[in-house]
Amino acid sequence: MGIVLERLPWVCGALPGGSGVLACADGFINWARKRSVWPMTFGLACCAIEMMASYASRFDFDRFGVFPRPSPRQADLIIIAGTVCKKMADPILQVYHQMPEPRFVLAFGSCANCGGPFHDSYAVVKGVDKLLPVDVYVAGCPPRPEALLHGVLELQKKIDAMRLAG
Amino acid sequence: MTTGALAVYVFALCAVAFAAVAMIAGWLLRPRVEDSLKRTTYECGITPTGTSRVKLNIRFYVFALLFVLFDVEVFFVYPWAVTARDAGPAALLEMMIFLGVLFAGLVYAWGKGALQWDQDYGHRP
Amino acid sequence: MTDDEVLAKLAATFPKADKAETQIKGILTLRAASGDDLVALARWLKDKLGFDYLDMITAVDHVAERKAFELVYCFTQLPAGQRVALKLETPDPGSVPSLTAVFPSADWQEREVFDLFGVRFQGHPDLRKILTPDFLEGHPLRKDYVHAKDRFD
Repeated sequence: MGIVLERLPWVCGALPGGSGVLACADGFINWARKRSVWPMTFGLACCAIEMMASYASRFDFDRFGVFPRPSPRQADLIIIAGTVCKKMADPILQVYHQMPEPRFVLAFGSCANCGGPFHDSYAVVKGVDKLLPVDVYVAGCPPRPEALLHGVLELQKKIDAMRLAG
Repeated sequence: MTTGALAVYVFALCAVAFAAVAMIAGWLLRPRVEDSLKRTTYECGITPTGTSRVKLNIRFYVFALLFVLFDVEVFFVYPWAVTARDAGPAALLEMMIFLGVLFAGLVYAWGKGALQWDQDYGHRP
Repeated sequence: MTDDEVLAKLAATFPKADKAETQIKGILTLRAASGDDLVALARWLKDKLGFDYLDMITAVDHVAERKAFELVYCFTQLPAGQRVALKLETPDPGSVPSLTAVFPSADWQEREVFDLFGVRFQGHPDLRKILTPDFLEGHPLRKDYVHAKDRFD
């Protein structure tokens, strides 16, 4: 974290009642982050359609503060929706490294989780966790949009558990 | 220093401070993680190829040029507007001549097609 | 134009070509006698009969049985929606004349067949891999393909 927030736990440790301040800071920062998770949509295959459906009006992701960003520079989360082919592995890594911190990864669908129905293929990476550290796995082939909403809610719980003090 | 001038300086200072505080606060608060690939140019995950020079349509330049012209014209009208009542009919006539000349320029630009946004690409059978 | 009409015209112009033994379901399937016949046949289908849309080019691996690949070409006549398929046996290893002079869209189709089966096309402007990653060696859709473990396995 930045210059100010890195020193905040030390400062709060020195002050009386500092842990309360730290908890407040944690709560505020986590609230701000989880209520505006902006995913970079990485739709690769059929799961992309379900992801698009969850952004659209029927399942409405915007009510959670989630709306898609086309560029990794503006995104908190990358949703890997679909089969990861070996040829696509390098672009995925490049794009992930171009995302600013804090960044999260959500593996959407069987193919992103473990290679899915194409596990034995010569051209498919057996799960995106072979390339990136995944935070949330959403199972399904394809998972329903409600499942993706649930996945983002689980990510929000994970963000809630983040602490400044490490 | 009159109160009028002081107000302008304070306003300018606030404008600069608004931007500066936002950027400095961001610099102090945001996470700092060094990643060798993070500063690479984004081109959908691949190494960027080709030049980044883009050919833009000339219409943007023409519209901007005309805008600046008439914006400066309005800038000159403002001081006249606050003193017009005291200055009398001669000042009114002078301003009308000024506006008339610039209006003639606008009509000329219009007639020459400078205000045309879309081009006629011709009918395809 | 019915299938019989096509066959009749074919018999008149290309006596060595005939109806293939196994028909693709719902599509009249012809068999070209040789590679040279193939290009002439494709040109005739396009110019004279109006089958000017190349749907796809693919191959079937018969290397184990008779050391040959069976190339399959599909053409469509867009206004009527009529389709015709063309099969050509080519020995493995061997090469086949490219159809890029007749159908420019054959370019990438033939690259795909080369990438996945290893069939070479003579006269192709740029015959190289198109689908598989660069580090993958071999031709994956061949029945004798053995997958070498790469950094993702």
